[in-house]
Amino acid sequence: MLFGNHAEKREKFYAPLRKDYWPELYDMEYSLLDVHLVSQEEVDEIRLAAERVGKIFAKTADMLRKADDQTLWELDFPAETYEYIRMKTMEPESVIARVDLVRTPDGYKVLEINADTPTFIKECFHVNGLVCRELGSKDPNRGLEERLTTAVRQAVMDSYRYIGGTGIPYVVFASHGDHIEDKFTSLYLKELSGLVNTTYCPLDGLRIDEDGLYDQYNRRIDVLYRQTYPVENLIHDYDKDTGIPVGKALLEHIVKRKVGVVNPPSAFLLQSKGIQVVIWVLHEEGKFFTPEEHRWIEQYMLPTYFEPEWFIEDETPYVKKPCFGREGDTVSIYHGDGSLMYADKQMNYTDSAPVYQEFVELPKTTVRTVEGEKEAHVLTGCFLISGKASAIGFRVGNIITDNASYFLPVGLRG
Amino acid sequence: MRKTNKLLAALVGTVLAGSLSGCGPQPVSYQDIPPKPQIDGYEDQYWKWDEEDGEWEYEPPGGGGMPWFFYAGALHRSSIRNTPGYKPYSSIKSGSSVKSGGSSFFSSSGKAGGFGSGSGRGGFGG
Repeated sequence: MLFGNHAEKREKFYAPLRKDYWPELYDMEYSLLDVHLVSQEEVDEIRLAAERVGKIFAKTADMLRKADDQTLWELDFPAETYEYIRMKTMEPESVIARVDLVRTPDGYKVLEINADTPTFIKECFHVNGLVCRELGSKDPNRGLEERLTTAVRQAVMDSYRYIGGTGIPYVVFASHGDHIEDKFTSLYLKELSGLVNTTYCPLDGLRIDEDGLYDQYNRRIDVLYRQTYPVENLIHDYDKDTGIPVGKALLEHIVKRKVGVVNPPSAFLLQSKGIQVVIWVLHEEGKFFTPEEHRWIEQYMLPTYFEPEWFIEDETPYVKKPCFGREGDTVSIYHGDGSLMYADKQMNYTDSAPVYQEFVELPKTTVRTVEGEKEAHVLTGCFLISGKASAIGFRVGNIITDNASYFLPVGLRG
Repeated sequence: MRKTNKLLAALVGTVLAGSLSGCGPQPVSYQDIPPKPQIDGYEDQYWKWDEEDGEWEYEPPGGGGMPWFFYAGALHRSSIRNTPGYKPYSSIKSGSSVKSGGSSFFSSSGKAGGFGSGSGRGGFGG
């Protein structure tokens, strides 16, 4: 009866939020009514790690903008995006990025950065505080929504100025209209921005011609805010009647400054996990980075290569993941002898070139769900808002964090 | 040469040289034909360069055709050729990149839709 009572409490808490939030995903419990307590010192450690690593990624991106086509190809960037990712439209490489970390006995290690289309935003910046208040905990993310607001506004105006705009831009927040998480994340950012002259448009409502991009009301768009739609998917968008590759046409419009875009093009440059190979091998060779940056890489980053042999030679377990992949899809874990330990059920990114990274097991914790207490692996996320460390949060689930993972709110101990 | 080494050599030799010297970056200079793969267990003599696909293909005698090829820095079974994203490097050298020159996509003044259709290959934000 204990957990029946918890299910009722959870339902009572989340029911009013369902109008613009997603306590369940894929017909499963997603947002827990539970809180994982950490010390202020640990929060500071997470943010320090994320911000330092963010600087490493940004410095690497600036260098790769100057690389030739074949280097970008080796990093698995689609050819259609080369000119796009060489654009530098604003100071930060990404407005909203999320660094995924794992706590180890040697401190926090970075698994990857989602620089282009991170979700998990409303959970950490908004819902986390509501859960903390409900359960009597102190919210470590308190006050950070205001900084997010400022960053979103600044990014929109920077994008508008980049295309030569003056005055008030017409801004459209777009996502898949039938995907609740994407839609409500986009609407959250739209409302949070407080910008006038904005609307929400589902992706299938957008139209394009040789002059520009338009919303569902046929109004020309100045800045497109596409928080959740990956560029590597966009380039496969076609008009089914005319065969026009509308995604490529949109990239061309962005390159020609006919429309601005947020996250900026440079965010996609950080999206390939091949960047982690670049960082690690330059670190091993003692190149490019300052002595302090080399110390940060050694402290926070994991060995990552394009081949598994580096780990098999040392009998070190490793993870294989696609340069462009999401939510654990197509990720597999191997023993040090190269035999398979575990593979995610989803295999949608087999066409993306893989990277191989040293395996670090996610720590476990016990969480309260409507089905009872469960032991689950913890992945720590820390947002970088225009390069500055911001809200944190936990995803808990399988040994590989996937679509079936829970959102576990975070509170301050003591 | 392993892809990791190849990438490092390219970056250190050219892009980084420009960055570190303060000079403008120079394009990375690759040979038209990338180096033959050097992979343990694969005999050097059986790698054949496929001009049309722009890739090294492994063709051991009696191997029953072409079970392996070297693409994007990794070994693949030939079945990957049937996957949606497969595109040999030779095809992108001919210029599929979006450019800032004249538009190449519109032949009429009508508006086109279809945004979001590319997500059928799996995935939204993450």
